[in-house]
Amino acid sequence: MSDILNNTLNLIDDIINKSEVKNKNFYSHILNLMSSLYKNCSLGIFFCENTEYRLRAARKNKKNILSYKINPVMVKKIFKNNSLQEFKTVEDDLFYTNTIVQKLAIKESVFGFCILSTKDEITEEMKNSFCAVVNLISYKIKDYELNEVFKIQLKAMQDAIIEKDNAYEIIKKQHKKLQELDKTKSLFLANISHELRTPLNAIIGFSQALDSQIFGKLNDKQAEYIKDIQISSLHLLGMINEILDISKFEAHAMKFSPSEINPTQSIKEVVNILEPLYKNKNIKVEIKNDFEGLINADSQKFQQILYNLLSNAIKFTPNNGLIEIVSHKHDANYILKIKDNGIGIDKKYHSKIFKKFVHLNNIYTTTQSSTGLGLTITKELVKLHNGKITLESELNKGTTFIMEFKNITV
Amino acid sequence: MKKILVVEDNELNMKLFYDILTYQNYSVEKSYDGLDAYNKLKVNKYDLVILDIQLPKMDGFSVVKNLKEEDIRLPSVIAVSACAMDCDKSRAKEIGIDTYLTKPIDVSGFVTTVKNHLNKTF
Repeated sequence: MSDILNNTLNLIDDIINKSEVKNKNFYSHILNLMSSLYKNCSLGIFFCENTEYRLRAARKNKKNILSYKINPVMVKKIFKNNSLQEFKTVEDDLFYTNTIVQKLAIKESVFGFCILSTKDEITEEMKNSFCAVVNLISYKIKDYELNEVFKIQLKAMQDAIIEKDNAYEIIKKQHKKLQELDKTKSLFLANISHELRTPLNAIIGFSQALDSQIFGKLNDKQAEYIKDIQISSLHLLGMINEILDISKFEAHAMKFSPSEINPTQSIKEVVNILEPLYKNKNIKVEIKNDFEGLINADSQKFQQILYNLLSNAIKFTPNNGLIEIVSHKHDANYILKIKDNGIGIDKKYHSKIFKKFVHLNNIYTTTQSSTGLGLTITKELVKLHNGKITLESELNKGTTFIMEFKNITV
Repeated sequence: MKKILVVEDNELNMKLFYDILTYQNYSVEKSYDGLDAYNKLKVNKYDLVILDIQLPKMDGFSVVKNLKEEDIRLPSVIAVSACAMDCDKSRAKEIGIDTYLTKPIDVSGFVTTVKNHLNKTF
């Protein structure tokens, strides 16, 4: 008996390895094999193929394989019942009187049935060997299926790896290209900055020379125009510097060299620089400082933050307005507020205001051109100091920019 | 009269430096490229050099570096560059350039810087 089982196994292996499962040969072999186990018996195997149940049966005395669609009623009946049971079919020319059915199944997954049909009485021994063979076939089929699934998954994985590799190659190429582009951009910006500064040096230099009147006296109109040229030139220079700054931030090339500085001193210096601007509008600037210590900051960049926010405040505060600079220490953090009672910023713009190239349409900005980079740069500069910047503002009431620099007090 | 060498390849900027410095009663000599400046500094004596960095034939940094390597005594140097990248400033410091100004210059500030440098040599 065990020889027969081993032979069966080997045969099934052969068939499966030749990928012939579910083809005519497979059924034929299995059926012949099982028929040879019993005298005068007919065997049937049917598999679930999609929704159709197709019976393939062989009878020893008829060498051919029969294949026909099973009556669904019969299928239902078989499914309902436990495996290994006797049944009689109406389509009985295939079967003898003694017929048993065994599920081709592993646990709950049923993939077909084997039917044994014989003239003789089915002995207990026949039942057992039939069950054993059917179980073997079940496991082989399951193995084969798993193998197939595994193969498909392996193929999918290999494909995915190849795809991933390809994608990686593409990304690498694109990255290299981007780096080159970025380099080109930086070079371009450095060049453009140079190219713009060279003529600007002549424009500003000659107008300052004329303004100093060392080469001769100017009349009132000439003096006024030469001042206008200087203001416009400095404005242009400011924009060139902003473009250069933002490109440095984008290239992560902005240098940061902190040292211990006195923030109050820095504030006073910036206020002094801006004095002509706010005096011109009769704006009052008050410094309310509750912190006398030192902070760790990049002196030039800290002043740039102050300069940007203060000049903005002056720009958007009407004549006779008030600007307050309030600072204090909170734990090891340094808090700095710049508060004006100017035109204010509508709530809907609060989230956009630090973004690049944002211009708010109002009477002030329509008369003064700018790059729209000032606050973006300011935010980046604050970030460089381990700080964050927020604003509180209401239309026609004023704006307060609040900065909290973490752990920078000495 | 103090003698200043101005190295600048842009004609109008050269004119600006020349006019401002001659007005201050300095004797100004012009040089339009790095190689020419290098040769002039090798043989002539100056009290001060105003040196552009991006120059034809030899850049400003190389002029100073080459002369220092040949142990030629240099007058004090004011670099005036339009290149605003940070690296230039640190490079100037490395080479031993005393002062580094960025274009556009502030005329009165520039005159003061020149005066300070010339007083220092005494």
